[in-house]
Amino acid sequence: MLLSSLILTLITPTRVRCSGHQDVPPDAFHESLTLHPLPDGKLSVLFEFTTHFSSPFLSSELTRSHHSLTPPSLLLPLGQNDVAELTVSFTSGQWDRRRSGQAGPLAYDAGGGGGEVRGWIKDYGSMEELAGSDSGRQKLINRNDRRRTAITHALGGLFCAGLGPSEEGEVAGTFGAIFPPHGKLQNYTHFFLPRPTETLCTENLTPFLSLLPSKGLSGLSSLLAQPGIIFSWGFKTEGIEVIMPMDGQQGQWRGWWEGVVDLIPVKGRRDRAFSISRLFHKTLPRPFVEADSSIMRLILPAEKMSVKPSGEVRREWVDGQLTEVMEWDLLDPTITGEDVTFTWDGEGEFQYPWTFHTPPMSVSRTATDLVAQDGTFLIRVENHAETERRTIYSELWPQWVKPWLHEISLYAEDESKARPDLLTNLEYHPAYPPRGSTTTLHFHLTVPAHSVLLLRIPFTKLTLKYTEHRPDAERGREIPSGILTLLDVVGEDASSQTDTSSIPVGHVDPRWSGRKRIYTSRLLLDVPTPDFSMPYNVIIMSCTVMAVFFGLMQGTLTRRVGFVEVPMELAPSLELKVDDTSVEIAVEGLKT
Amino acid sequence: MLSTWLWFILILNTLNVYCISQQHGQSREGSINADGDRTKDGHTNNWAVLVSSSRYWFNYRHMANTLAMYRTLKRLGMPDSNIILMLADDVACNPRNPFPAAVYGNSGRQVDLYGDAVQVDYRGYEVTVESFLRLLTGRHEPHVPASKRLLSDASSNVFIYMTGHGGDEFLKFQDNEEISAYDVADAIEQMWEKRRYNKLLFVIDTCQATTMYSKLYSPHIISTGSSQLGESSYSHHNDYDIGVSVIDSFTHEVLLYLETLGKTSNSTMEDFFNIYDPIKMKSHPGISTSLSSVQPDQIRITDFLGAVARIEIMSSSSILPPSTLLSHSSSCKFNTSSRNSNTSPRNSDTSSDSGTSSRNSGTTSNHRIIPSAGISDDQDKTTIVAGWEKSRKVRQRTKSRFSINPSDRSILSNETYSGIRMREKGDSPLLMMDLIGIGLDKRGMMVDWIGIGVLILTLAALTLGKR
Repeated sequence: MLLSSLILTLITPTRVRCSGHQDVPPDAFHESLTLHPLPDGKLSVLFEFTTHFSSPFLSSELTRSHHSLTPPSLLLPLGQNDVAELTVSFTSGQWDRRRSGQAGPLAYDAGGGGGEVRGWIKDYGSMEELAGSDSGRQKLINRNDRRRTAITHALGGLFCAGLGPSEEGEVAGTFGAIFPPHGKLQNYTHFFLPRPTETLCTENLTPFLSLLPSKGLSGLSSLLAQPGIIFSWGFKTEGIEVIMPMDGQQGQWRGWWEGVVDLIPVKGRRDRAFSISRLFHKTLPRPFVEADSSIMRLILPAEKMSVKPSGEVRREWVDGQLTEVMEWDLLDPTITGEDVTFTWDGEGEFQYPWTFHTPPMSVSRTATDLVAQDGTFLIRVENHAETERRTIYSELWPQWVKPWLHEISLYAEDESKARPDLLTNLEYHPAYPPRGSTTTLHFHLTVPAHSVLLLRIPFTKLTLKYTEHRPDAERGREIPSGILTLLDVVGEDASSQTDTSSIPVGHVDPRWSGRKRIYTSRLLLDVPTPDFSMPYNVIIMSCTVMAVFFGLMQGTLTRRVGFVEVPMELAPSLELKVDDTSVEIAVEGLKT
Repeated sequence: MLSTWLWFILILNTLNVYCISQQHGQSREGSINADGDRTKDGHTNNWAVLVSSSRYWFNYRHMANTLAMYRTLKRLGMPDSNIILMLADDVACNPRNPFPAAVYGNSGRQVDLYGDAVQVDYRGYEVTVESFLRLLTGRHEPHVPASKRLLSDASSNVFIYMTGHGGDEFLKFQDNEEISAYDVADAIEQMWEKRRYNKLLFVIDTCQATTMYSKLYSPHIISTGSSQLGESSYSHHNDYDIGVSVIDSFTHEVLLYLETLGKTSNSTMEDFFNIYDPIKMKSHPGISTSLSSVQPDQIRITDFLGAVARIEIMSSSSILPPSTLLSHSSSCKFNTSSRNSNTSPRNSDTSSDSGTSSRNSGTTSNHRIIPSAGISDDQDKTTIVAGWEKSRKVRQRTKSRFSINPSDRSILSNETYSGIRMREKGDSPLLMMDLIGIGLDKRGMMVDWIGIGVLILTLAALTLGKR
């Protein structure tokens, strides 16, 4: 009996595993490190970790989830809240689009500044059968709100950050067209929550590394797990993008970390030569055993570079430009422990260029007319390409920023006249202060070739309540980045289907880019702050007036003025002159 | 005749309730061991709340104080999931920090307190008086993730460390609002009422620190602060590369001492208080043990700052036969208390092995299996079950206390939270019972209710009978 039960115990899981393996493709993990020298003597370093996974419930007949390379701490909250796709990003520092020649970092999904959570969540509110009555519909909408709040808070806890909204209603739902889903989704609604005040530091890197199967211990992640080094770099962005498995399709989650390091040290040598050990204080690490691919890439600059040991060179479209990319397969055991050195041929001292190539499309935002109460956003959209571009420019503001829509104007810089014809559509979703809400604006713009458009949006800042101010109220408050969505890009993958042999290296075609969105940086707005000592002054003054007034009133009402007969024996204690018999003195409030 | 019987039943019931209340009194006091060990503490897990309430770069030292305490707790074995770290500002990645992502607590910069794996639970603007009080009392919005909750229970020893700028009976948060000593006292009283701690150590480093715990009125609290009423606490020293003071005197001296301790230290709180030196600390630290049922020399430092618990196996007569163990394992009695190894030399090998193996089992503590001294006079009857069984039962016990596995806190759903809340709500009628001295354990509780029912019925019958 015991033996048979033992055999059963041993055999059962094997069978389950076999049956699971027949249908489910195995999980796969890919990692890559991309080095991209920028023209201003800096280097962009991008780590990417991609895991393909099947639904954990498919791999077993048991009703519990099995995870091999995917972290359950990430997938379970998503599964429980019916989230189909999710992106979380943290960005710290400012991307210099003029000097780098790039409109943004290589991590195309990185936000403009601070934290950002967005994704697609099941929409119970739009289901017809559930939304029969008004009250039922309202309940369902509230339920959606609660789930959005729950998922943003859950991820905030996961990433050691306050990513959740401070009030319900701050989660925007009008960005579905800006961030379209990767798969076909029905009855799903988009949610978008930027948190511009968030920063990126070690406490956000720790959970990121713990989500990776390699945990920052081996493979490329071991280069990343050095907060002291990577946080000394200038621009930094970190994020994850999760696409849950659906309709038999495998899911995918991708984590990225990108930083910009200055290759010219403040003191000492003046050339840009670098190596892996100089960047990371480590040589190329041992590959992660479960990795299906581990690749290091170098996007070769226009100048001649010598690389030792060199890798395989291929041509690729990178952000709308045909470039040569050198690749090393890090799974090759001969390269483990090696140091790769990169030097610019014949460079003694790096000369900063006088001019920089501008990116084909870029956008920036400033706030002008800075007074305490009012201002104007000036958005500058530049198109340096040969073709006209169709775009959507989106803004999301907290409820205390109120635009004056009738005063919005659109100019072409060189023509210095209004061009309302280029604004084909405008979506406006106003906030409803003082409740937690946001204003969202989507401008459908057509940007002609070789032109600069100026969009002016006058706005006013509502007065915040005393309790709504931050502890450092005088610092101002950040507002989220503006987003320029490019509607006509076809992606970099399309390049594999076309013959690039006849196109010269360096050729620019902005449509062949994976960058679908360009972010402005976040903006720090002064808020009209009261003199916080004034309430105290008022309180103290009021108290004084009340005290004096009521004191007098009480005195008038309760005091009696009259003559009191004081016996002889008490008189000496009053230290008064007494005559032989008795004294009659006026004593206020003396009780006998 | 009937009334005589009824009076008899009434007396019996009263006796029953009294006995149960006596049992309960013992269980709340913790397991008392007959082996003559000094510590009479009955905790099974440890929690810590570390608060740096100051914003701005020039308050670097407050962040360093807190992070140094955080590092010490982790060094002494407390898992990150049980430490709630509140930092009101981000000095590590502050642009003014010449050493990015590093925080140092001494001018030599030997140890990076921020480290490679820090987990900050509340940071920046989230650190407010409200969030601190909500954390202590467990009154959260349903969506607050588990990593931001203090999931302690009646058998948790809780360590609260606060630092910032303060004054007479207040501590400033974010240079914007203040928490008063009364707020802290009431929050801790709520913790006690909601069975969120077994014993509590309250340490505060601020000016006039002792005033902050002067209003506490809940039981089982040992408090200590850096300075007396009317006295300032001072920073210890500056680092000229960082450009600010890097640590406060009181915390610096405390840490110097704590650095000498290991996970298995037997040092007591009295040893800890004996290092207080007003000259070195530049102020007169205060100690309050008036609320504590245990004197400082009777409780170890690692009972608060560590997470090492011991499991005692009772004699074989109290353990069911192996065949029924799987289905009735909860009936086995485990006395878990914070003990460190080497108290029982003959079992030290066993304890260290099991300690390392159970470290991976997902429980909060390193459980050391040491036979209870209660059965030491009859060693032959001692049964030490296999390691797997032990860890399994430990998990069960932990679950029965927690309802969840603390290491999986981040993946909990809202349903689980509501489950926890339901438990807490369920505690409130028990608190009423507690006031009139009725037992709390599950078995006892059932008897109580029956007893109360019979009591009421008897009284009713008597009243009716008299009419």
